Amino acid sequence: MKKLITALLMLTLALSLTSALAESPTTAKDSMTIVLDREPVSLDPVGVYVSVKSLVDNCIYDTLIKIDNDGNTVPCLAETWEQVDELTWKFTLRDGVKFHNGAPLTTDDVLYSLGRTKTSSVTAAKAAFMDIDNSYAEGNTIFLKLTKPFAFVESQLAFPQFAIVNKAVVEAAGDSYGREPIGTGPYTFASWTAGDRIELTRNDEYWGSKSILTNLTFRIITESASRTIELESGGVDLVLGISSNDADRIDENPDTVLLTRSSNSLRYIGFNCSNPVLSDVRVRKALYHATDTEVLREILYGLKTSGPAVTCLPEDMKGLNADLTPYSYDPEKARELLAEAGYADGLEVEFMYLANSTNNMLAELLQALWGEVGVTLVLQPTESGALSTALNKGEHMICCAGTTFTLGEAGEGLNSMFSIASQGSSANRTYLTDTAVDELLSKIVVTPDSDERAKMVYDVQALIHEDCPMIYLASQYSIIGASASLRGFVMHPNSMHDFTTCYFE
Amino acid sequence: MKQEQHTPYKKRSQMQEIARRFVRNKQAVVGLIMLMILILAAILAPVIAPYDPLKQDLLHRLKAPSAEHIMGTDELGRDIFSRILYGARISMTVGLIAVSISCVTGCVLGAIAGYYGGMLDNVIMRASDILMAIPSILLNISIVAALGSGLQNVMIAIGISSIPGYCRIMRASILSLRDQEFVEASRAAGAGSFYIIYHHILPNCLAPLIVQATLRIGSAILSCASMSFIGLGIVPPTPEWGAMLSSGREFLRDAPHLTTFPGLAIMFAVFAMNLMGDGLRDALDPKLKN
Repeated sequence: MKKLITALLMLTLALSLTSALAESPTTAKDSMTIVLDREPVSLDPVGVYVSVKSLVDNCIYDTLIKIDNDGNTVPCLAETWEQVDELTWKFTLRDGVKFHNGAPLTTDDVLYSLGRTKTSSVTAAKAAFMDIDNSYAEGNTIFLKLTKPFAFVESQLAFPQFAIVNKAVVEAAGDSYGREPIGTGPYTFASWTAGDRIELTRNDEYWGSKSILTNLTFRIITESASRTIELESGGVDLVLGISSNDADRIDENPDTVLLTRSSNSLRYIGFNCSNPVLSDVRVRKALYHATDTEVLREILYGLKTSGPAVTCLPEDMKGLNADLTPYSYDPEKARELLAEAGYADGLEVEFMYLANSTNNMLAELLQALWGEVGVTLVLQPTESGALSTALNKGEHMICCAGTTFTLGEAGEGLNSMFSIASQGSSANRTYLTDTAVDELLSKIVVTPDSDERAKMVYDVQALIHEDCPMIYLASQYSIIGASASLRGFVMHPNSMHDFTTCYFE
Repeated sequence: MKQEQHTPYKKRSQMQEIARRFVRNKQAVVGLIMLMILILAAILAPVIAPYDPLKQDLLHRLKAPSAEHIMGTDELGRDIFSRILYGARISMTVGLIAVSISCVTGCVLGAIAGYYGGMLDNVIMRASDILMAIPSILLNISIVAALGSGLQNVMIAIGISSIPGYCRIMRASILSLRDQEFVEASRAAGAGSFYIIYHHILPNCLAPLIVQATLRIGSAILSCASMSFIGLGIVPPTPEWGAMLSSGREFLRDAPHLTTFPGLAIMFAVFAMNLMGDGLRDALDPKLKN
């Protein structure tokens, strides 16, 4: 018996020694693990905008032009481009670009890719896209034809929704394409384990500067505490979507670094202006005056991880109007306005929201704040599918929402939030019907000059502010936690982070 | 007659015998005491609670337990101890009403199925088999999703999902009693079906029903907490243990008391019910004990 035990012990020792030897210590790793807070449904560039999808797509695909880390447009698959006339843009394609399957990039692929937003069955935000028709190619040059003037051609072409795909591959793959994407980007798609991870490897044939690291792994961890713990324990290198509660913990830890950048994202409480009660602007203003937005921002989004919102635009946006008179926290004024509107004896309103921890807190805080001025808030926590259906139909009274200005263009975002044509789409939660606002917005979206646009954007905010269709809560930052040994990572203004320059020390 | 008055043999009624067996069982008594504490806490919540359970105090958020707040404060500065006391009301109500719904419906259906048999039996029992085949949490979620969240709908959902258990117990008891001599005698004497079920069969299958009901109260409390945890149960700001657990989860690493105390409360209630249930089973069915 004793001999047997000794033998077993020896065996265990031997096994543990071999496994220890197998792990050769390396200081600089050649692979990087990035954590996403949710799983993309598909990696086909066309479809509903989801930040995590665009991030992965941005590694696999290239667009005609790109926005660099400073917000400038730079060449990508198009070497040069110019606007020929109001409706025509000319792009000269880069030579010698190859898809991951070895096929060369052709003008046919480009024309096909640009037309996909129009033919795709996914209609979400179709109105916000430029309307392209009858575009054609001459040799190596693409002539992009618009059906009507559009101001944001460059920023939209830099968006992964307009990434260039291989026509033959997409058509052959059909519906399964979203799970086996092929692009021209710096990384090739390797594998996808549903609910767990997406793996990419370096594209050694890439036309541009190649990635330093050979492998990228995107892990999907939906629980925010688990994401933070994974980063702290060194299991992952970069975490997107750190909870603001964990920001201090990551900042103070010597092994991790906290990175924040304004994410072009605005959080707000939206009033449905088409609702009989809320169509009275006095009621909307009363509710705004009853809301202590500074306290809400501190508790819900954190002072370090969000910026104050003074208008319907997030911080650092070109054309932001900081000169508006804020609706200060003033319960007395709120009561007066309510009495004026005929609700001196109290008012009952409904608040519809996605039931998550932040929104639950917001709901309970609002209930207490508004209760002080005699407003009863009925809470309707709703599951996400039912919520977006109800909101898109305008069945809500009050909701909490966020808008990300994905292109970094104020005019484009405001148009999708407040134009009358956008009512019923996922960006318009206020159903504001103001012809003056609408007119100005329709001018903005066709004005190519960005300074001229900024001036109009400035003016339209004043009109919208006077209508009071929403309570501005915060300008939300994108919060990233990174391993302290990570080098070469810069946060992109539109969250299209470039990982090719990353390495470890 | 005189002799009988002096007899040393003390005759006990069936109830007394059950009570005696129950009291002898230490675990059952502990369960009963725990349950009494819960019921008292629920009833006396407005008297005992040191604070208003809904009163927010944003300057004192996430405070650890102290003399001022014995269980600390939550993410909106509300007193957790007061919220737990008020939460006991919700849990007790949900437990009792959900179990009543399922018990009454289940018994009626089970009685019909067992007594009449045939086609009706087949239909009822297959329907209850289908209900049993669906995981109860999934069934609860579907029902609440269809009816909308809120205390009432949660109770209905939990009630419906536990009908099959009673249905089966009732049917099995009836099947074993239906053909016994005393039932046949009653039938021969001209009694109707309802009379027979109510006066002869029901009293004889009460024991397993009581046990099942007590045990199910515990799981109903747990189901209600899980529904609130996933955000489909009680609408805020009503203090509910599962919802408190859920909202505290976000602060688990910095303020563990937010989740610890509601968690303990749920454990306490379910444990009390299980001890009681086991004790009742032993007391009601002495054969099981050995």
